[in-house]
Amino acid sequence: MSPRRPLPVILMVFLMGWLVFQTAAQEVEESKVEASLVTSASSIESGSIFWLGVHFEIEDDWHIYWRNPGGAGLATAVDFKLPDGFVAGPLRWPLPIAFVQSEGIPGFGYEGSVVLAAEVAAPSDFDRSRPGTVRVEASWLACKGVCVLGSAKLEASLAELPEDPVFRRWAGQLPKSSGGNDLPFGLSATGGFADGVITQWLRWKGSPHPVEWFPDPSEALEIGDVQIRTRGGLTRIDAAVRSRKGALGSISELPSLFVITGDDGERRGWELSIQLTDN
Amino acid sequence: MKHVMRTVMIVMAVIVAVPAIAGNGVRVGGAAPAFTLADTAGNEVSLSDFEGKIVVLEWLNPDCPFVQRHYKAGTMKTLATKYDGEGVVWVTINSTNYMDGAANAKFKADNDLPYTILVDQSGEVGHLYDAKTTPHMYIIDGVGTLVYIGAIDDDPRGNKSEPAVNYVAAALDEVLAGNAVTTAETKPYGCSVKYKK
Repeated sequence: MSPRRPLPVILMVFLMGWLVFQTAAQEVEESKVEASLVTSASSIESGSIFWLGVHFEIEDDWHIYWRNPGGAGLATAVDFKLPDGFVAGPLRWPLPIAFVQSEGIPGFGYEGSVVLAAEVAAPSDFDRSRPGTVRVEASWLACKGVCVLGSAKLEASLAELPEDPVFRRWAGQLPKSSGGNDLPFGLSATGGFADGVITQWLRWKGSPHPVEWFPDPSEALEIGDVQIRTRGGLTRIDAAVRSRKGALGSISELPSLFVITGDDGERRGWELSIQLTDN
Repeated sequence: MKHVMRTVMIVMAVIVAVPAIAGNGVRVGGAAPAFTLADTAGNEVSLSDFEGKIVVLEWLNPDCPFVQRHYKAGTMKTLATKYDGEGVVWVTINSTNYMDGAANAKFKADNDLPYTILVDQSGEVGHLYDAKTTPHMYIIDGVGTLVYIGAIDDDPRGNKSEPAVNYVAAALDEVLAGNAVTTAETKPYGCSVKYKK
């Protein structure tokens, strides 16, 4: 026979259990993205070059943002603090996807999983017996209708960084930074601020492919009303363009990312830039 | 034939990949569009009620973490209180599709706000002003001209080591001094406005 418990004690136990459940539920609710520090190298040698990055695992149906988040949102940020002698290049961004954030407000970013990484050079006098510690601060905005800010402070010994198999195919997800011989189209542009419209012409070297366009303007430029049309061997991308009065940044150049989907279903991207004129 | 079909499909694939440019004629230097909305008490409020006054419009969504950060810091309330003494009217508009008058009244009471929240669940006024983010700020001068459109400040992450530049305060100071606004447009930051589908 169990001893009788007074009602206030039972209520107290129930209340504490409810609070614990609520706290746990809130933690789950707030955790939409898992971030981990990863590398492409199984071991780091003197003078070696390797990828160092943050692997974001994003909850289903949520997204985080590209460096230009689109009409709203916040670019994901990754800040590396490396041991003395190590030098990191610029953060590289795999091809983003486009999505609708709300009516009339598209966004650019990532769903599922993405690695944002930089190429790192180890010093020639690197001593493996004293590998040093890598520290990274990452922050992001995750959205799925509602939005949740997230951040992580990650650190690991360079000797203990996990090699991420994602790097075996990761470079293929990066845009190419210049035209080169494999650019499947020639690019030219007409229009400018006077027209309020810039038109980019993609003259295909072979058969045309579906095109996505991700502008990456400075904050001094506003780009909108994009339309992409292909006829025959020519794709035309029209976009409204205007400068923001008094805002900082270049208004003479419009960098952007062109992504095409090949016959094999693979997406490939090129980072290209056009000059803007007053004409 | 296969090639022709694919070309036809590509021609039909018109992709709209970026937002409409501050459309609908809303521009710095242009006239602020007229509107009428109900406040949290159900009273109709029109922009024309404030004719002759400088008006700040703030787009709000209490569920947005950027808005929550600024309300926790008292950014909007402090500015509204400071410039109220100079005759500036602060009007907050909530175009969030799922927030009715009662939800906005609760937010106003919880934060002891001295200014009006207008309820725009249909999103009509939000679209009229092409409001994209929460917050998204607009300043209208005494003759009804838009003189600032953009972000509240230059610190989207709220972690700048040096003090943030508050664009709205800077613009209000210039307007009150009778000067043109130097930084009249900035890129707004925040959550997307949760418009009705």
